[in-house]
Amino acid sequence: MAQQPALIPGILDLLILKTLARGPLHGYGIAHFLLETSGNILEVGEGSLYPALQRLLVNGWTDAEWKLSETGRRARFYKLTAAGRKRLKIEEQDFERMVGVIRLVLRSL
Amino acid sequence: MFWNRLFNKLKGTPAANEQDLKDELAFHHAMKEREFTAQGMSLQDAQTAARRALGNVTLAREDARAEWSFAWLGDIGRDFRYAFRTLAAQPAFTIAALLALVLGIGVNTILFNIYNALALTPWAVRDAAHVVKPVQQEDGGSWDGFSWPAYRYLRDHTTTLAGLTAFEQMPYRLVRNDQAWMGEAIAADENFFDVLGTGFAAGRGFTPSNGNLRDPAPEVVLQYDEWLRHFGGDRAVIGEWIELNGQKLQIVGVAIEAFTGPVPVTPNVCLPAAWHDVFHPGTANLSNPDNCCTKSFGRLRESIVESQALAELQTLSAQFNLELKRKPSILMLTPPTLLADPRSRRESSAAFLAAGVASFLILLLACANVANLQLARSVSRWREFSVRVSLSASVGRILRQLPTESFV
Repeated sequence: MAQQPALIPGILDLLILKTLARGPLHGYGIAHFLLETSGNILEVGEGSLYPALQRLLVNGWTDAEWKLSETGRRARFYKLTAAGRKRLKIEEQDFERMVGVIRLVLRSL
Repeated sequence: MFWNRLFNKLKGTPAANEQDLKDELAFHHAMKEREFTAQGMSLQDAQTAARRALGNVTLAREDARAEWSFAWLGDIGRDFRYAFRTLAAQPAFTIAALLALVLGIGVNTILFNIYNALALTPWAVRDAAHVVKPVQQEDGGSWDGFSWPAYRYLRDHTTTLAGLTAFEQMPYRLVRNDQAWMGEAIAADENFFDVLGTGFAAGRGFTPSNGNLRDPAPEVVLQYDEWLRHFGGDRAVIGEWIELNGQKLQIVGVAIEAFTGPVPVTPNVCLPAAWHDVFHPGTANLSNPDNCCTKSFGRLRESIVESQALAELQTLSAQFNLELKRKPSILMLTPPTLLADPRSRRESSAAFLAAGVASFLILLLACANVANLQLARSVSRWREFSVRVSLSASVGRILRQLPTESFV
């Protein structure tokens, strides 16, 4: 396994929510999108991706629906709910604040 | 939030969720394969690579499933098992606590059963909700029954009641085949079984006497238990002649088993009312308007409510008293249960109140005892909790265990 930066816990949920904000997408599509937009660095294994998707579903932040994918196969598409959209906003703010704080600490020496 | 999560968890069946997850992972796998073949790999290599890229699919499914399940349910199960184990490990505590609770609860249950039977359960007649028991109060005295003549006046004139019947009580001595025994009989008006709507296990009710009180039909109806005990439950006894208080009477019927008689009387035999005065020479219960205590029961007509019947009976009673130049009396309708009878109500209510308070105190004592035992036990379990906390059990987890244990 290639070394990749460890994800801060909870960040994966934020990334998935953000990805889904562009429109409904299936699990593979989400992983693919994250990999591409991160410049082939963020490789999300399904060992963490699918539990995270289930978690979002249980929390009511996403909805799932079986539809035909672009390749003609049936795939389960996730889309943001209103609650999910709200959650995304909160998590983005939290993340910004957290990064700011971490940066503050790192630069203090 | 919590309810939302719960709702979402319960939305799909576990099997459906499982299937979704499986299909989803299969799709992911297929897409990975496509990706690798697009990069120029052979199909076989692509499959291997895809599988490698996917990693441990079973583990992924396990983890994903965990999001759906109720982990705390398992915790509760473990708490219960642990509670039972500690109880089994301390038999002295368990026995003491159980004994205290069993006694406390048992006494209360018994008392409630008695109260229920006497005060709340109406007596076994057809449609007991429509049966009322009129009582009267003369001159601010106690609540009593009517005189037989007053009862007859009400019976013959009422229109709000589908029927009104009454009985007198008397002891009897019965002789049959050189055997004799005694018991309580009721001398009932001949419409008794019709009005109350109890059927017969065998035979029939009384023959109508057409108001002839001088020469009552020599008939008797047995109560079911009496029939079993003294007549062996034999249907052939219908038509048999027996000697009751020195008179020859013919058995014409046996009341159904459920009919145990008007509370609080459990009569063993029923005779036509006119026999009362025959068996008590010198008394004239049936003709004396000053007599009290004829117990009467009425059945409300359909669509008549109690207050209408009461108003009518009150008027009829006033007419009767006026005709005989007697003082007026106040009437009341009560349900046909023991405690509804105003005469027994005062005494029995007081008795039940005392017994109720006593048994409540017993229950309280039992609870206090168990609470004390629990308290003593928690103190001695101080070490156990310390060990668990130092083994990194969360405080919440231990707090959750305590109510589970006390529940057990």
